[in-house]
Amino acid sequence: MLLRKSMKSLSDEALMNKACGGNERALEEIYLRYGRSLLRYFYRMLWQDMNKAEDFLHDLFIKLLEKSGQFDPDKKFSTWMYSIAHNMCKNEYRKLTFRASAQNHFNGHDRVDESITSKMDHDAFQKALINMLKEEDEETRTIFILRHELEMPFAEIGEVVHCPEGTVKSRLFYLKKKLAAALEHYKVILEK
Amino acid sequence: MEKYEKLEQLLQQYSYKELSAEDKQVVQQFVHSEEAYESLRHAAQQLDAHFGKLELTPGPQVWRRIKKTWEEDSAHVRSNHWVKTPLPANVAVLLLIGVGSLCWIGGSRYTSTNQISVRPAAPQADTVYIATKPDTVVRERVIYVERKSQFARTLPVANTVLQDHPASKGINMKEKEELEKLLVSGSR
Repeated sequence: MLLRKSMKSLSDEALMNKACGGNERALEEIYLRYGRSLLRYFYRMLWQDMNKAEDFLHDLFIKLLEKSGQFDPDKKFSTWMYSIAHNMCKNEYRKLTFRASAQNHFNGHDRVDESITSKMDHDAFQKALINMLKEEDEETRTIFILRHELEMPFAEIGEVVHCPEGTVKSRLFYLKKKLAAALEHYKVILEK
Repeated sequence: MEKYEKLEQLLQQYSYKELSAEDKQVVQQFVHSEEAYESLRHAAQQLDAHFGKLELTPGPQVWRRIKKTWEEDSAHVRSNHWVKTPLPANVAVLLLIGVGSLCWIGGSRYTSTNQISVRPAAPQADTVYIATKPDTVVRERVIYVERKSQFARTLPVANTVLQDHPASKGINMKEKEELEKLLVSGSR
């Protein structure tokens, strides 16, 4: 109990150092801090496939330990971790014959999430959002999810996807405008 | 895009009619009509309602798998940790100075003249055992002395002709036989 308390008081960077030195408690503390948000990120990025998201979460933690030598203690740990997660998704997108399979995944997602959609009564929004994200590249999708799902600051998103803060903001604004236009379109259809 | 954070905040909190003149100036950097603002606001509200509401928790098997894989690999990772851990520059410099001075002190002991000691080479006799019997065995050393030189020392003159002394002359076999005959006849 005391040990757990002392771990909670440590910074992410200190925990990472301890975990690399073989401290299991430190690794568990990192998992408790970031496991859920990372799962949400992977779930959103990987076509809302829970099994895939959990596999990626597992792989990410193993990568963290394997690449611990590359971690710069002067930088923020969470940024470095999300960079790895972003690269994993990028590789996954590359692996799949993206255009063809993504189409199927998104169509599948429509069916899977139908119950949720009806519950939330956001049919039009869901459809517009799915269509919009489907058309965007992986990087833009990452920016969007990091901002809206994980509420990550702009500067940190920029570091994760390796682009300037201004670019992150303009991409988000562009997506929001596109979404707004799509919602208007659906509204018109629904009204008709 | 400097005021984008402000726009996000306004979209979440206020309708266009509720905006102050100052806020409207910020908004007008991005959208040019009330309709566009309201449309954006609607999209932002939908986004807020959609995202961040996901209650997902990884199953316990995920942590178990991570732990298992980590335990398998941890020995290897730990062994590399010392190699991978970067040394701060000042520590590295101190370490180099320490090692250098130790080597210098150690080396100077061997170069000092006081420490040189010369050991005299002690003669050593080796004993050789001959496994096979030799053909020639030298039992003793024979020293030949020149007799001529001894005679030379004893004779007073080198070129003196020696004359046989009658007493020193022996008898031969013929004389011996004659003497024996005389002895026999005399006994008769």
